[in-house]
Amino acid sequence: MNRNTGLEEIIRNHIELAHFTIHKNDFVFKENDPPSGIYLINSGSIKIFKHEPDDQERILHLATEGDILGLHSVVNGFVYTNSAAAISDAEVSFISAKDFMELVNSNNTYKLLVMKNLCSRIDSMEDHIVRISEKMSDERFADTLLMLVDKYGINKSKELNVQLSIDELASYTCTSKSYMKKIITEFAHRGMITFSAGIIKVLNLGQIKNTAIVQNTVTVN
Amino acid sequence: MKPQFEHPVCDECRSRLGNVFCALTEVQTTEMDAEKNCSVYKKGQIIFNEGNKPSGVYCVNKGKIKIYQTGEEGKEQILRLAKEGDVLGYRSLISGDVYSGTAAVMEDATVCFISKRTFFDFLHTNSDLSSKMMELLSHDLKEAESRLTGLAQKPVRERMAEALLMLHEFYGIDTDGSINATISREDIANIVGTATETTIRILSDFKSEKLIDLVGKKIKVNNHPGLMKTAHVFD
Repeated sequence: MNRNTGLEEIIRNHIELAHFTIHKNDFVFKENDPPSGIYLINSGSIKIFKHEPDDQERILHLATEGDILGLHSVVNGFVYTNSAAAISDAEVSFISAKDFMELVNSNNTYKLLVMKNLCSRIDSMEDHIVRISEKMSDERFADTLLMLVDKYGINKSKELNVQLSIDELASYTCTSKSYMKKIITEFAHRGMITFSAGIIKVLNLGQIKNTAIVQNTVTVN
Repeated sequence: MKPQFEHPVCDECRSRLGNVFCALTEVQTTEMDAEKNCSVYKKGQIIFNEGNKPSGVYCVNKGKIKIYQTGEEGKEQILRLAKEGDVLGYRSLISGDVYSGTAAVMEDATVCFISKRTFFDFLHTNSDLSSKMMELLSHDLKEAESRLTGLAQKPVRERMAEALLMLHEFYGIDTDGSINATISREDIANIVGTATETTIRILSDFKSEKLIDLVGKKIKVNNHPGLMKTAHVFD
């Protein structure tokens, strides 16, 4: 997920960087706020989400070390199109919108790096769109698990190095909370995972991979 | 005698107005004119295929094009639509990846091809163009985000209303007031992310609710506010 485009290094080398700690559940920025600048994650994880009309959270992306937040909002100068909040304590570096745009405009090669970064974000967003329309909830949850393993890794006792609530898992997988619980129980029953107090233990990665593949032709409305 | 196909001239191409290539200098426009290749595509023809390596960008002079990904089961999911003035294939070129989707013609199209070398030449030397490309990609990301939000949560009826509003806004209306594009029911289903049968059923529901009119393949929006309400669009 985290494709280094070289932009990270350029931001890091900038003199006018501010550094913050964002505590768990605190916001980095909120949807519809004017874009004050760009955040680079040094450690921790941050969820990027939008509010649905009924005020539910829709997680679009989980960001981690090396990810850059707020890029497209700053480039286009519109408001932040999504919210960012820490799911574990996170260290971030901040560069103001003005400084960033000056930096980028100083060099056409930097603009290409910005473009590459945006491209990879759009790609992952479109993959997500295709998954939702094509896959059943359990297949999508298997995808979510694979993404989490890939992004955060698992420790020696097979636990994911990130903790997510059922709400957050449901939001990323695009299913309801009650159905999410059912799927987790089913996965646990089949010996693929265990889940307790936000900690997911990954027991059978092979079977999760198999589950992620579309099984039959059913269109979900 | 075979009818001669006339190459569109960039400088006279009204479609170019408003797209990123407006940023080109006069000299660059002439250079692009000399270098580009334009082709006519018939309905159903493929412009580029998912998984292929990009060798340039495509600029739509005329016609309507869909960009879709094919799922594991062979079902299309339409991700974007394009019309005259739109540029296609730039994302894969910039990221250096293969095409993430297939571009196929929905209504006969004239499309110009600009090679990778020329495109990158312009991008490196023209800072207006690179700024415009950055803005275009930022806009694309914003669109993809809202698309995901809509798709994930809204029931199929709301998504259908939203898709019709999108088509209405994107293609504008014909002289008879119908949406200025002939889009098959199957394509509409693939935009919404549902089955064709469901699409046909909901469209006929919308018709009996007098939200829309169906004239052959064409769709006329009768009750715009009503459709907005169905789609739960508030802004």
